[in-house]
Amino acid sequence: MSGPLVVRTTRVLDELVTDDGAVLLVSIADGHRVLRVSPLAQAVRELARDGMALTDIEREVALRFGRPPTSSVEEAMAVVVESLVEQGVVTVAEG
Amino acid sequence: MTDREDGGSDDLILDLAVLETVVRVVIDGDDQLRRRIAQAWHLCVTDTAEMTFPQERTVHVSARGLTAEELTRAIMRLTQDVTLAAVRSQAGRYLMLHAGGLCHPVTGAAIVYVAPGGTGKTTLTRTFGPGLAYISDETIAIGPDGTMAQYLKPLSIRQPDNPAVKDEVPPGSLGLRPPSVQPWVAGVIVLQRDPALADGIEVREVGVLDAIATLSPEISSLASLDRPLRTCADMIEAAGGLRIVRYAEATQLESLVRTVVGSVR
Repeated sequence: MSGPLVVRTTRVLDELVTDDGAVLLVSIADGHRVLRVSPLAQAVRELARDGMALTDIEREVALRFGRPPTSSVEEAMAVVVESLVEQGVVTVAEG
Repeated sequence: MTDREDGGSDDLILDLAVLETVVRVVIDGDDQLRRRIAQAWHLCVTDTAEMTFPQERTVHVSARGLTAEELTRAIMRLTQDVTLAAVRSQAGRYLMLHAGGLCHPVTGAAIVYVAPGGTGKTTLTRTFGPGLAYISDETIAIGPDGTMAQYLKPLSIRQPDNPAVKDEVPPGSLGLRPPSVQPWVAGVIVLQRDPALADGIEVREVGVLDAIATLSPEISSLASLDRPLRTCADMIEAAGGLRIVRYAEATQLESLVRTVVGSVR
């Protein structure tokens, strides 16, 4: 029986956070790269610093940012989290 | 050309003061080659006995058995090697941008123009440099207080009939003079040349986070800095933000350049 999906923020070289979101300095194979992160995506990273169930993150983000106009919270969060995983700044695993 | 420690006993030496360090060029060739390199780098040549900065890096250039074009290419590569050596030497000390810079000859107010290679820095330098002071057309190094280290390299200008080869042209021959005062960053722009742009220029201001993301591919050794992203943000904010400028011809930027170098602290 599998547990809930848990999102966990990965360590970056540096980050700068403002009301407009964040920039992250991350290591890549041939050096480093700066990533621009939206306020919503940065909220996910902050909530997941110590690991948090995806369903809890969805609930917290909906409280902070409201519900998306054209999709469900779950659908919108799936897009954001998938993007963060692709960029290597969060991981998702069964808890 | 490599970063070896010393040349052989027959090698000639030329010390270049660049980005507040000294790069030693060891020349495997005759004195004519040394004079040619010294002429191109005339604003950087420093007397070993009177060095202001430490000599930290060595690069080598060999001219043995080369044709005239091969020699020109070797001198072109030397410029790249000196740049790399200087940038490596100052990693972690300066925020270093792939950019050109000119400043007001009296106040030191500088415009920094960021662009990838081959997209307008040298043309802008040649267009507005005479009458202003030349800081670099390749690498701009900015300290924590917003002051800038000079990199008075020759201008690398593509040969009209062989664009793959660049001539290393002495700045003085193009009317460029070094600053006589300490340059400081008064404005930073990103150049986006678009020959198809009908008329005028387009200037777009971007917020600090987008500015960092925009500039980051053109920053050397970013991760070596202390608090790198905060350092970038501080520089951008001190410069009054970042502007992305689309233009067709360098002459269209005259008003913008004059406004920035006319700034006062």
